[in-house]
Order: sequence, then C-alpha cells, then structure tokens
Amino acid sequence: MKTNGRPRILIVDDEEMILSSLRSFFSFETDYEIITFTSSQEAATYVEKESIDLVISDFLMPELDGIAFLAKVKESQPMATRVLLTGFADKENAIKAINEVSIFQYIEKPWENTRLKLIVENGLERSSLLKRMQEIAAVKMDLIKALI
Amino acid sequence: MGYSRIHDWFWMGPIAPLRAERDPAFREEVRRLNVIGMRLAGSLAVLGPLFNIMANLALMGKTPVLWGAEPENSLAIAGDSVIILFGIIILAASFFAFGSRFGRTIGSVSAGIMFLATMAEHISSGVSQASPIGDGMIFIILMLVVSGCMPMRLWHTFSFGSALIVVYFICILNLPEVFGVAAIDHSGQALVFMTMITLFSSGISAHIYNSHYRLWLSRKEEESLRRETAISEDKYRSLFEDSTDAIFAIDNNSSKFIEVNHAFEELLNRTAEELYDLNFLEVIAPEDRDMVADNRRRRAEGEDIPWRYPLKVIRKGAPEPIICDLTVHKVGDSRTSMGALRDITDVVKAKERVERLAHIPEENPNPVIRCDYEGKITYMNPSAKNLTVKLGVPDSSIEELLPGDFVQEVQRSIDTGETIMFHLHRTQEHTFSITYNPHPDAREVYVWMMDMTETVNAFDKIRSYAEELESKNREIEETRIQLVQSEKMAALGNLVAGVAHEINTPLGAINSNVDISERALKSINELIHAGNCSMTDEVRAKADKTMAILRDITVTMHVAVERIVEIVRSLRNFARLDEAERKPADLHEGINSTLTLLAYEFKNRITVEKDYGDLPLVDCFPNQLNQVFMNILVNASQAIDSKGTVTIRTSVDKSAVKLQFIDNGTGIKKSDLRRIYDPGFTTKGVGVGTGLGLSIVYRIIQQHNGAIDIRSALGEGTTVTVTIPVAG
Repeated sequence: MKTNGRPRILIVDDEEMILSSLRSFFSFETDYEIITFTSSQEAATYVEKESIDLVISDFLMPELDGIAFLAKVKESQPMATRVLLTGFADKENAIKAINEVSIFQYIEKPWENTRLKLIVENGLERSSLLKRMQEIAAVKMDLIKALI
Repeated sequence: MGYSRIHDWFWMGPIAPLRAERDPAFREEVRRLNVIGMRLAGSLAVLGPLFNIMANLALMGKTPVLWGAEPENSLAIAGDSVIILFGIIILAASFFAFGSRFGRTIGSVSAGIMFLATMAEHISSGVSQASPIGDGMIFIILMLVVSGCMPMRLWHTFSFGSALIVVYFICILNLPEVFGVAAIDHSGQALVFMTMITLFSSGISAHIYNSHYRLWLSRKEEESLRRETAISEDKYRSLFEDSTDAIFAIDNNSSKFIEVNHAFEELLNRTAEELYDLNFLEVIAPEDRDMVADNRRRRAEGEDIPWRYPLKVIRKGAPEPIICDLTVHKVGDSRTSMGALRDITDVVKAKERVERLAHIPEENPNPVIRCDYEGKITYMNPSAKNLTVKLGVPDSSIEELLPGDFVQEVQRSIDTGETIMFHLHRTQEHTFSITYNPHPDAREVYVWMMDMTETVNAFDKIRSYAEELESKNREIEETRIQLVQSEKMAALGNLVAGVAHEINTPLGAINSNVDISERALKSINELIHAGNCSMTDEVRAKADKTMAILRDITVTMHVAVERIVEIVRSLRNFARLDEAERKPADLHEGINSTLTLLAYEFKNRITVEKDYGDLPLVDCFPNQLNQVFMNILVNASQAIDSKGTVTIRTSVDKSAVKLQFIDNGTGIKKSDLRRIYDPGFTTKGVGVGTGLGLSIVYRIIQQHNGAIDIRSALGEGTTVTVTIPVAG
C-alpha cells in the first residue's frame, strides 16, 4: 500500500493553527508526507480510500469526535498507529478512549515538539512492523495455499 | 467586806447585817427611814459588849490599884476571864445569830454565866455582902441586850433600864457603903458604867429594830393580802359586762332573764329590756327546748347533767337558729341560775367543711399523704397505699418514692405557709409531680402526688425528637454548604477545563511554533556560517544581527509561553475535576499549583519560603485538599497587610504528614480563635470573606481523618498545622 516510501501521516484538528504548526514542524524536521484535515468527517472518508501510517487526532471536534474518528480509522486501517492530541483536561475520558480504540499514545496540548517527534517515530516503526508482519503472514498464506 | 457592810455594822448595830443579809428589802427600808436615834443606839450596842470586855480586862490586871482592895486571887482572875470569854460570845451571837432562837439562847446562857462568874468573883474577893445588888443590875442589863428580840414593849425596857442605871449611878457615887466597897476607884467604875450604858442602849436598839422589822413584815403581809383580795366585786361586774361570752342570769321559778351582759344582747340581737320580758326557753330553738327543760329539771333533782352542751338559739332577724355552746355556771343559787352562751356556728360549719374536705383526699385517684413537721407520715389515702403495692415498694413504705429533700420541703412549706407547687421528682421508673400544701394550724402538710411518668416520657420523647431534628437541620445546613461548595468547585472545574481547552489549542500552536522558530533560526544560522555559503561579510553581518534579534524575541516568547503553560496546568491541577475520587497524590504538587494561582495575590508582597520534607503520596481527595491549601494560603495572604513571609513546612511523622503554614501577619484575636471554624463567622469585611473558608477546611480535614490546629498571637502571626494520615 505504500506509495513512495515516505511515511504518510494524517493530522485532524478543527483548528487550522494546530495543523499549520504541525505541518511546519514535520516538514522542517522530517520528510514525512503530511495530510491534514480540519473536518474529521472528511478525514474519515479519506482514510477509507487512502493508506496512511499514522493518525494524529484532536479529541473535541464538531462533526466526529476524536474517539469516533479513531474508531473508524481502526476499522479501515488497523495497522495505522493512532495518536490522540488533546487540549481537554479530562483524563478519564482519555483513558476511556485509549481502552475503546486502543490508541498508541495520548498527548496533551500544549505539547513538546521533541516528544511528539519521538512518539511519531516510534508509532511509525510500530506501524511498519505490523505491516511487515502482515506481509509475511500473507506470503505464508500464499505458500500454504500453493502447497495445498 | 465592803464599805456598806462596815457602815451597816457601825450605824445599825449587830442586828443590822444579819437582817440585811436575810432581807435586803428590809435593809433598804431601814436606810430609807434613817432614824438617827436608832443608828446611835445601834452603834452603842456594838460598843456595849466591847466596853464590858475592856472593863473586865482592866479590872483583871489592875484590881489592887483600881479598887484599892487586896490583890486578886486566882479565882477572881478566872472569873474575869470567864466574863470576857462570854462577853465575846454574846458579841458574836449578837452579830451572827441575833433574833434567832439559837442566838437568844446563847445570849441568855452567856449572860447567866457572866453573872454567876461576877458573883463568884465578888464573893471570893470579899465584897460579897454588897455586890449582889450591883451584880443583879449588871445581869438584868445584860439580859436586856439579849432581850432585843423578846416581845417586851419598848417603853418598859426603856424605863426599867433607866431606873436601874440611875440607882446604880447613885450607889456608886454616893453610897459606897451600900455595896460594902471600902474604896471606890472612879475610873474603874466609870468603865463599868459605860458598859452599863452601852449594854442598855444595845437593848433599846434591838427593840427598835425588832419593832421596825415586825412593822415592815406586817405591812408586807398586808400588801400581799390586799393583792390576793384585789378582785373585788366591781371588777367582777366589769368582767361580766366586758366578757365576749354572752352571760345571763335567770330566775329559777319564772325562767325569766334577770341579768344579761352586752355580749348576750348582741348575740340575740335584742336589748336587755326586751330580754327581761322573755322566758329563757323562748330564745331557744323549738327543737332544743324540750332538751333544755329536761336538763334543768334533772339537774334540780340532783342528777349529774353535763355543765356544758351545745344548743340552738334564735337570733332576732336571723334566717336560721345559731349554734351555741351553753355553759351552766355553778355560782347559781336556789333562786337564780347563771350561764354563758358562745356562738360556735362558724366553728361547727368549719368543722363540717373540714370533715367534708377530709374526704377529698380519700377519694382522690392520685396519691395523697399527710405528714408532720418531721416528715413523719400521719395519713395515706387509698391511692397512695395502692401505689406502694402496685410498684412493689418493699414494706409498702411510700418514703421510698419521696424525693430526698422531702423533709426540708415539708418544713419550708410549713414555715412559710406557702404551697409549693409541682415539684418534679423522678424515681427510677416513675416521675411524680409533688405539691406541698401546708395546714398552718395543724403543723402538717398535705402532699399531693401525681404520676407524671407518661407525660414526662412523652415530653422526653418530644425533646429528643426536637434535638434530633435540630441536629438533622444542622447536618442539612452543613451538607448544603458542602454542596454549594462542591458545586462551586465543579463549576470552577468545568470552567477551568473549558478555558484550558480553549487556551491550550492556540497555546499549543504558539508553543510549537516558537519551538519551530528556534529550530529554524538555528538551522539558518548553521547555513549562514557554513563554509560553502556564498555571502558577503557585510550581508552576513546584517543577517547575524537580524538573527540575534529574532533569537532574543523567540527566547522571550518561549519564556512567556512557558508561563502560560504553567498557569493553565496549575488551574487544571487545582480543579482536578478528573480526580474526584480518593487516590494517592503528591501534596507538594497541590500546594505548588495553589501557589501558582495565588501568584497575583502574593506578587512583590509576600515571600514564600518552602521547607519541604520528603513526603510520600497521600491517599486523599486531591482537589479537596487543594481547597484546604487555597483557603489557608488566602487567609495568610489577607493577614499580611504589606510585606511578609509565608513559610510552608512539610514533614512526615510515622503514618501522617504534617503541613505547616506559618505567616507573620496580624494574627487572630483570642476571642475570635474559638469561633474561627463556625460557619458564617468572619472578621473580614463584606465581600472579602464568606466566613465559610475554615469551616470547609475543617470538614475536609475531618473527612480525611486528619486534624487542624491553629495557633495565633495577635501581632505576631498565625501557624496552621494540618495533619493528614498517609493511608487516608
């Protein structure tokens, strides 16, 4: 599914300033392909069609909240690492989200870029490992099928 | 011996002290009379026996010279000695026993012996042929001394004694031969003569005294006799008239009134004149007439009829007969009878009423007892008796049920004559209302007991309900305050969460961008100074300068953003809406967050000194404890007028952490210190404090099983010590 070898990162936040800052940071520091949406609904539609390696999502959003959106991501692209970036101070809900959609990391706003970068790197690694595992499994299945 | 006694002896003679001793009234009488002759005689009577003794003493020693006779033989000396001795005895008898039979006997016997002694002496000395006459006279005069108490008339004594003295005087002076005395010594005879005179006057004195005493005695007797017979007839008359008893006399034949007193007129409401026309039976109520007539007839026949009995008497104008007590006087004779009536209507009616009343306690369903001044029970009504049985009091003694101060109350009631109402008395199982109702006449008290057990129990129940209600109300009020407070905190929490969220998004962007700027600047700097950079030095210098400015700005932005981040974090931390349940928490973090929020309050004014120990995590409600810190620190800040220090000291001791907040502010007044935890108590002005702060603090710490201690000295500051168990 990988298009050109560059990790694809999808960032969803209803605030453009967050998207802009993150886009700037990742383009300055990394060679990741950054796709951003202010509408979680649109992002969800995008995820259904396009492959991504990692999703960073806000929690409180008008159409689809972070949990619901990440749930959709999990459904369509289970290999993609899910990260919640929230300014909301309610940890209980965060924990609920982690349990429901099994997110990889939870980051509070305001965040530290260094830490975010580390998380994203780890997430991508995890994601690529998962994908590798799946490919190997698929190869195995083909071999088994061939043998049969 | 006082002056008056000597005075009496001297002036009144030997009799006076004796009499005075026995009868001071008489002594007064003698003094009052002040009879000079009697005094003179009295004093001479003292001198009489003295002179006699002196004369004999003189004669005894100097006889040969004085008398011109032969020297005295031993017999004459013995005779003189006897005379002297008995002279002293007479003197003593007249002093101490004069007037008594004993004194008289002693005096007479002594005089006789003196006479015999004189005779014997004279005979032995050879003057026996002449001396019997003179000696006889001496004896007679001696007898006179003794005869002071004899019933001899004064005049007789006086004339007889005078005649004897004259004869003796003539004999001595002019007729020495009569006595057969050869030579007469005048000085010796003068002494004897003086003896005569004094003895004589002593007798006179005794007579005068005696007669006076007798006179005085008879006067006294007469007086007492007069007193005894003082109630004369006119007094009987006035007694009769003034008596409050209605006294009357009737003629035995006609039964008509012949004498009535004023009280009788009043009793029957008739004048004496009216009554004199009436027959005794006519004023007696018809139903009693036969009885009275019968009694009179039987008494006349000699039967033993009571002298006193009640009967009904008609009073003019009265609707019904009055009840009287008739006393028949025994003074009546065959012609008249006397008697007295006393109106006893009121007494009889009162008695009836008392008897009627006496039945009331008997029928009273409540226990009634009567007791005397000593608290001894003299009566118990049936209910009181039943009560002891019902309650199973041992020996049926009602004393068991009476209060401890029963006797005192009984006595108080009798002494004051006041009814003591409704004293509540609780026994183990029962409650009685006790009323002490005194009977002043009888010196007794009625004690009315009322079993109030049910009522009192009901009251107790109501009271306990009321107390419970009050405590519930208090609880509700506290809960309400708590609720308001927690609602406030929840609202604050929501607000903080919302604000934090709203701020955190732009803050996140700025924070991130500042970081990116720093990174970008660093990157540009590297590029500029890279070896392959084709840039003129001038351009590079300009670029460096611009870069430096940008770097400075970015650093400032970074610091500013950091501060905003810290404030927002503290706000969230303080509200800790997400931590409404009990969990282990770092109390230092809570204190620090609170301090951050109070930065504006403390800024440039209050120095905070943190003396933090090594605290373990404490199992608590963190947001509640943050409220505690906030309240204490706000109080400390408000207590400091201008500049000051707040020291926060934390330590752990065994299983509890100790947090101390020490300020050097104005301190708390001692009178306020007791009330600081009361909800609504505040010394701060309206709008500054709600008065709820410390009451909430207190409650939160109680919920944590902790303790709070506030010590303060006015002008020195306040130390608040909070202790919270680590395990919650």
